[in-house]
Amino acid sequence: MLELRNVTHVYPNGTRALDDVSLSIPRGMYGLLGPNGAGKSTLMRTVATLQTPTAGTISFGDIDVVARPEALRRTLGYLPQDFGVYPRVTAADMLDHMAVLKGVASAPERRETVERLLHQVNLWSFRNKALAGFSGGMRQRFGIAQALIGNPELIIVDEPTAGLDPEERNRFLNLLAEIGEKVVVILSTHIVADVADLCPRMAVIAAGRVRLEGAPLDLVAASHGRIWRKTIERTALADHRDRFQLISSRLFAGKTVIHILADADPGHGFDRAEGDLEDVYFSTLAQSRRAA
Amino acid sequence: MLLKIAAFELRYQLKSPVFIAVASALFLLRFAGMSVESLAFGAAGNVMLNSALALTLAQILTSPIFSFVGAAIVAGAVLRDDETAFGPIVRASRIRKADYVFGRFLGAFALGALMMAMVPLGSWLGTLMPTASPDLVGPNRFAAYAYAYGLFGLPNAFVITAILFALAAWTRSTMGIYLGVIALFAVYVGSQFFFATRQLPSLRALADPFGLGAFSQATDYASAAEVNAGLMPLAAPLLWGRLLWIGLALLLLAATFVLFRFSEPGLSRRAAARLRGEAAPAAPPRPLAPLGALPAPRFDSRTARAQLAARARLEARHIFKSPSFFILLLIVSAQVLLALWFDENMFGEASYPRAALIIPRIHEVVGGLLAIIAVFYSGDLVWRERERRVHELVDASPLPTWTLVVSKALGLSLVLLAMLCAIVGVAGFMHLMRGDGTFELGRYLLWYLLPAGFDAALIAVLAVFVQALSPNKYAGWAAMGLYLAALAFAGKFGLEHHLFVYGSLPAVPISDMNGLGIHWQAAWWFRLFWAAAAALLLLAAHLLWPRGTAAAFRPRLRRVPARLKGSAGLWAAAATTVLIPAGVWILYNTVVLNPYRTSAQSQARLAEYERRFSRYLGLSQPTVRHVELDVALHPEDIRLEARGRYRIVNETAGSIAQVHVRILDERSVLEAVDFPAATLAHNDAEFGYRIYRLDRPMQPGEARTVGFTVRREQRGFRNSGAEERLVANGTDLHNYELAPRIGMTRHTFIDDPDARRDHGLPAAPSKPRLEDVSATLREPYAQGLITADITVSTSADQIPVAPGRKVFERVAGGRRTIRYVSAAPMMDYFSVQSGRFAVRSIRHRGVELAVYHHPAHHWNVERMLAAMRASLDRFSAAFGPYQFEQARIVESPAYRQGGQAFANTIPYSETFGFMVDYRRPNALDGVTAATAHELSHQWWGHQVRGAEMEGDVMLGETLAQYSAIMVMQQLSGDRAIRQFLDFQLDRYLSARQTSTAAELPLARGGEPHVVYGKGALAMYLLRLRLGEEAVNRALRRFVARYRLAGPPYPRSIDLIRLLREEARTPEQQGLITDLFERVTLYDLRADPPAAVRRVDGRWDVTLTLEARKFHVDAAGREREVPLAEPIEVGLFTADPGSDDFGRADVLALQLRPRRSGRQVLRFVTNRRPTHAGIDPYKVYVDGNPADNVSAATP
Repeated sequence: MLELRNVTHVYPNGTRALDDVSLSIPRGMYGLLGPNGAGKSTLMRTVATLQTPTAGTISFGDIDVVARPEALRRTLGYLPQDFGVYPRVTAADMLDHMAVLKGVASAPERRETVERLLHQVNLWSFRNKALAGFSGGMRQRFGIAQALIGNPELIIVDEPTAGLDPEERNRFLNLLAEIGEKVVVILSTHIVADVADLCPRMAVIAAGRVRLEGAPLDLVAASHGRIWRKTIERTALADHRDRFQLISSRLFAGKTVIHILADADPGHGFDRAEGDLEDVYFSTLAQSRRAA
Repeated sequence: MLLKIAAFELRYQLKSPVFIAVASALFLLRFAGMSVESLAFGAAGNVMLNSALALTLAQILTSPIFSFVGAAIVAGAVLRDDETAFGPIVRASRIRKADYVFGRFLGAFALGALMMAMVPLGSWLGTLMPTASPDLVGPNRFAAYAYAYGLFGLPNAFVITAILFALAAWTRSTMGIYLGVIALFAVYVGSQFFFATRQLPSLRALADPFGLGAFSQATDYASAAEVNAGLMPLAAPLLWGRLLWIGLALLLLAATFVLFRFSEPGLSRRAAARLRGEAAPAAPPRPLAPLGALPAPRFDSRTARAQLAARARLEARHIFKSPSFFILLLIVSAQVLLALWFDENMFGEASYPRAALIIPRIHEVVGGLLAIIAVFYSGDLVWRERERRVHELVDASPLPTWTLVVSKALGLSLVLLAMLCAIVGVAGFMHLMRGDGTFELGRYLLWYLLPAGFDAALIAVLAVFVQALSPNKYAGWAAMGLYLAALAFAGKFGLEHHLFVYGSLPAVPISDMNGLGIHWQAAWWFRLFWAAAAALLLLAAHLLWPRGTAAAFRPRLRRVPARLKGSAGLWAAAATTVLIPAGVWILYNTVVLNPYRTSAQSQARLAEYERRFSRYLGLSQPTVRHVELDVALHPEDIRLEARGRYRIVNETAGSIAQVHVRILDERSVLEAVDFPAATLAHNDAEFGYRIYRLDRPMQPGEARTVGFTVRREQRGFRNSGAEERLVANGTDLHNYELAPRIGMTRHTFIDDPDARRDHGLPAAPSKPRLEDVSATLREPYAQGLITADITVSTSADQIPVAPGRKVFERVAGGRRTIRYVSAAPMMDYFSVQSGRFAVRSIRHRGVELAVYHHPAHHWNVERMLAAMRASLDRFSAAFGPYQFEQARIVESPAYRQGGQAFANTIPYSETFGFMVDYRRPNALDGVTAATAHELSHQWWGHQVRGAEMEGDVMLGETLAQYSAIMVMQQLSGDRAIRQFLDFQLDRYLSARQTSTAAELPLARGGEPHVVYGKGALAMYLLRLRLGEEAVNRALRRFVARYRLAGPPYPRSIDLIRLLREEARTPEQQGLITDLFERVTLYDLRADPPAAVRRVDGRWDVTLTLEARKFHVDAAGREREVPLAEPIEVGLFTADPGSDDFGRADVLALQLRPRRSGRQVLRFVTNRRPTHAGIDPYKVYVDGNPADNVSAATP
């Protein structure tokens, strides 16, 4: 459905935010994982027609997105990573306004849209409150609601779960999953679990390049038998970092648990670990860092 | 620490584009003004550009500019931390509040000081350039620069920074600061205006934070010579004002420090309430039902309309809900109300509210402010989505870009429209409070709301376009600032065609009797053109709109061709198909059909005229002695045809072989000349100059007849200078505009010496010296005395007026024809008028006195008639008989200023007295004064014509002022006279500084401030000392000697000789010398009187006076001379300058000889005096008339 071919974006200051990115994104949820500053948001904004890539083509169905951004916008739902609101405007009014902007011109249809979406994101009781007074989570829910107006074919959500409490996050992911059955949903995040829970396909992006692309299950399966775990003292971390291909380290009950990548048993007290998506993600990042 | 913070602030903001732009602009402006003469701003006559006066004025005028730039600087210093959310980090550091607050303040103040320093720096460097004109730049004095900067530049920077700092700390928002600045400005201007009109100069000086009031008070009456010699006034009010404001600034700073919120801002009540609302338990989430399909979007024209409406509503709501809008609305309304409420003419009289008077005043007062508001809101609206970070939501929606652009332009137009409506509301309020029941709503709509709204929308569109292209809001504002400057000043740089600058329009003068005349047509053609241009700008804004985060301009530009395909291209084509034909039509009208000339080209044309024809100046020519004229006016078409015949007589001693016939007014075309027995030897069609060679030369005394046909019409419209003489209602022409002249004169020659030099013309010969007796033999201004037979026809609903007795009137075929015959000799310079007049006339002493007026302007007609009647009585008795059978005042549209005395006809501008409201108590009866003045010209100018030489203007104007005083005394009373004289004194003293030529005494001078201003004072004083009877006796003898006589024509000294014959004492002879033959100044002052109660209940009063007298030589140098003459000294129980002063308030008035220096006088009075002084009624020319009288210290 959504095809990106050799998309490159260079900012005026020389920063190469996207470097020859090619992706083919089918219907369904698509996870875009990457650390902060990897170029995720640039990629999202580029697909959302807010930025024109320096080079490359993007197409959605038969829409050439770069040449005809207005065509894509008609079927796009976009939740930016960070957005503000107009002062002195209530949630219902703003959603109503967004509905007009999205082409829902008739008043009864707009009313229906607003009502259903506000219920859906659980903001109905706050509909007459000024958006400016909303907390981060409430504002995020509003953002989700507006992204769903008008049954978009392509939904882009940039870091949607940031600022949501676990309950809200669940609710939101369920909503996305429901929608994702019918349309293309791109979900960018740096939270591996979001992708792991939801996305049949994903890509890891770092330093502007696609480092890994595939179905999470396949990726995890491919790492099977190559992830090893060991619990060490904190002081030994530097030593292990030098000697092994360290993927991640985390603290657990005061000790440091490290994961490394090795094709065969590295010995030294490492145990085989059941690799999960996080290991795949971290190992990809580790490799890309080494390559850089 | 404090200094480090200040230094950081300074370094940080030195790099800000706003500071750099404004500082360099100030520098360049001063530099260019000093080094290039034509760019000199504020050059006032003879005052050197680098004198302390000019430098100080420049410094003071920079202060308002700094108020606005400083607002940005201070906003940065105070609000940056909060806006960048860096505040908590700063506040959590170990920095002390004092260091923080005062450090930031010092940094901002240093920037202000630096910006102010650009004025002296740029000026000084400019004076060093080789191009600096030695006429305008004197030697550089360090003290002058130090005075300007030290006493005004630096303190003003301090005061302004402190005020802004307090505003910033208090409002905590950039918007708040700007609104505060605008509000303070409104208060400042309003209060200055108020104090000025209420005659409270000392309050005005103190209330001026910039020191302008006090400074101008200290220098208003300083002469150019004093100023150039390095005058730097240190008067007490000036210093007190400065100290007061520095003290206030320090207090404000201290208060700001105390109240400065250094800790984390707590929650406002509203924010707390919001939080509580949120904390309230939300309804338990409903189990998530499948969302299902929502209503589907549609993208058709209905949606587009709904989207535009929604956006426009959003913009409007944003504006109308914002407090800033209401504050600005209030400011604008208050400005207009103040200006209208206190609007007064030069005599301090207010007019009836009329749209025709109020609308130009509104433009004057808030025209600029409205443009600034448009610019301000454009930045606010265009950048709002990005500032609020809503842009990604909006920009990723399928909303067509054009709706964004159009809705912003609409929103902005709506703001301006609201302002305009408020202004019209204020005007309506004036009609309600001061009017006579008329509201003229239609006029406000058509003359103001519609055109001004249209023009505001044009600016709004440009502002939206500029902001769409600009990399940030401030750059957009700066660009719009440049645009507004270009709009105001393009003409100065020769770009005088209104097609050069977007939104520029031909002026549309408004007249109550003629409405907009034809002027609106040209303006609306230009508006059509600019509307098409605006449509293209909107389209360009649509194509280049920064949608999304595409900051770079080039990629947007690259996409334009692709985006032009489709409807955008059609719109572009449509706008262009209006733009190009409108432009061509405008060019056809303004360049082909009518001449387009810049002022430089017009001047060059005058120079060319002089070069071609000045060689004929001395040529003997016959004199016109009888005029027959038939003028067919077609006011509805702005067209006339004049046919006429002159009887010309050779009154020279020799024979005349060639006769020069020329038309002076370029708009009138000399179509044909019928000159029997003569051949056209030369015809310069470009200038309308013909030379006829006579088949047989005219012998001395021989008379012949010349016929001619002249056409005049306005075809199409002009870029500027539309026809204002021949109009639909209120045509006001004189015969130079209707008929040819015989022979060459200097009439059209350029006066300005610099312009003459630029065009390679020889220096203009000055008027013949008083001693040049040969000049008394020439016909003054080549205007002989004629008899006339003038027929004027016009549309039937109008009344044509020409001089003389009406002998025939006919209305036929939709036209009214009246024939006027003048048997009494009159000057060959007369007026022809026509309008839809109402006529009020009376017969008095066998003379028809009439006022032809616009029917709506009936208010002061009786007052004019009374003044005419009294004038006729007084002047006939005092000076001699009136020479005509009629005297007519004929109202003329506002295009004319004041009145003019033609033979028995006085065109009198509608703005000059016709609309003055005398229901309110008015001291000065300006209508009576002006009517008497103009009527007396029938004696002074028509009966007695001074020889064209030095001092001749005095014989007309000074005597007319004297005559006006005579009539005022009879009809209006003492108080009116006093105010009249105050006004004349002010007029004389103020103009002494700006006058470019060395001042000549009355007997030789001709400048208005001398002949009208000082002349009135001189004649009044002379009358006081010699007695009215003696003065009038001299005048009567003067008239008797020269009445309607041929050469030799009188000189000023001929009158002075007659006056001297009436003087009885050497003192009076000396007075005549001082008043007429010298430039004399007095310095008279009194200390507060000291009164001690005597045992008999009366009062011993001691009054200390100081008196000095000066003569001013031709170079402007003052030399003290001994004073020995009687001058009034008076003791009063009220201020003789106050409105309620009356005769009963005079305790003693003593006329005794005074001498130079200090002198102590003692009196015994029945009551205790509150005021006392020398020359209490201010009849002497005293550079500081305010200290003549002092109030007793209680």
